[in-house]
Amino acid sequence: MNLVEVIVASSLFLSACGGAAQIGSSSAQAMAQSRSRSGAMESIEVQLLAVNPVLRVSDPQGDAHDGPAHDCSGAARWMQQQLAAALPPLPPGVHRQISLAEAGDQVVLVLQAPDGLRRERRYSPAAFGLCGGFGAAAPAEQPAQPSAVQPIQEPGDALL
Amino acid sequence: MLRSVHRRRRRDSEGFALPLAVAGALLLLLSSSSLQMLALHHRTQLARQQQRLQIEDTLASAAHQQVARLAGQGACLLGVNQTRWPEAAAGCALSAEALATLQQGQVGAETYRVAAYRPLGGEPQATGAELELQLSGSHRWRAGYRLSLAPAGPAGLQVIAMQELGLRGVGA
Repeated sequence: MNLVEVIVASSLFLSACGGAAQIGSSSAQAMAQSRSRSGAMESIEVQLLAVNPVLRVSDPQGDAHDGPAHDCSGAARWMQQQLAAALPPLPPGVHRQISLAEAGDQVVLVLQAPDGLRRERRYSPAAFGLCGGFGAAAPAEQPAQPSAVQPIQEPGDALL
Repeated sequence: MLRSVHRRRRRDSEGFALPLAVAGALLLLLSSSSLQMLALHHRTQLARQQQRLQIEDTLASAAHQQVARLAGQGACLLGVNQTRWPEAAAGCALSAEALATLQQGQVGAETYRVAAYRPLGGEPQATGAELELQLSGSHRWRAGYRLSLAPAGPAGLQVIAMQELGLRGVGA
C-alpha cells in the first residue's frame, strides 16, 4: 500500500460519501414533502366525505312543507349555511371556501392545501331532494337573508 | 529467503485500498440512489392519485349538474331508460334541442356526456336509477352514480339522494 493509492482511495470514498449524503438528504426531504401532501389529501378527503351526511340530515320527505321548492337558489343558500356550520374543523394550513355558483343554484366547495393541492366540488340541492320539478321538498330551515351569497372562507390555522 | 517473503507480503497488500474504496463508494451511491428512486416513486404515485381525485371531483360536479337538470327540466325522463329518451321527450313537450342539452354538459373546462341512464325497479315508477357520465376531453374517464327516486306529483318522480359508485375506467 503506497501513499498515492491511499490518497486516491480516500478521496474517492469521501466524494462518494458527500454525494450519497446529498442524494439521501434530498430524498428524505422529498419523502417528508410527500408525507405532508398525503396528510393534506387525507384531511381534504375527510371534509368531502362529511358533506353528504351533513346534507342528508334533513329528510325532505318527512318534513312539513308548504309546497314544492321549484327555486333551487334558496335551497343552495341553505346548503351553504349548513356546510359552513357542520363540516369538521380544518387541520392547520388547509383552507376551505364555500360559495354559491354564478347561477346561485349550486354550492361550490373549494379546499386548498399550501403545497398547491386544490380540490373543488359543486353540489346541487336537487341531488339531495331539496328542490326540483315534481313536488320536491324544501329544506327544513331556509335562511332568512340571502347574505350567504358571500363566500364563506375558513383558514385551518384560525381554528387552532 | 527472508527478503523474498517480505517482498511478496508487500506485493499482496498493494492495491488493496483502492478496490475497497471503489466498492464502498459504489455501495453508498447505490443505496442513496435507491432511496431517491423510492421518493420519486412515492411522488409519482401521489401525483397520479391527485389527478384521479380531480377527475372524480369533476365527474361528481357533473353528476350534480346533471341531476339538477333531470330533476328540473327533464323530470319526465327520470323513470325512463336513456335509450328511450327521444320518445319520452316527445311525450312531455321537450324539444330535441332541450333533450340534446340534457345529455351533455360542461364543468369548468371539462365537457361530459351522459353515457348511460338506467332506471331501477321497473319503469315508469322506478325506485332508483343508475347514471353513468363520461368526460369528453383528453381523458375519457367514466363514473357511475346511483340515484334514489321517490314518487312526486300525479305521475312524476323526484330525486331524493345520490350516491357515488366510483370511477369505472376510461371509456371509448
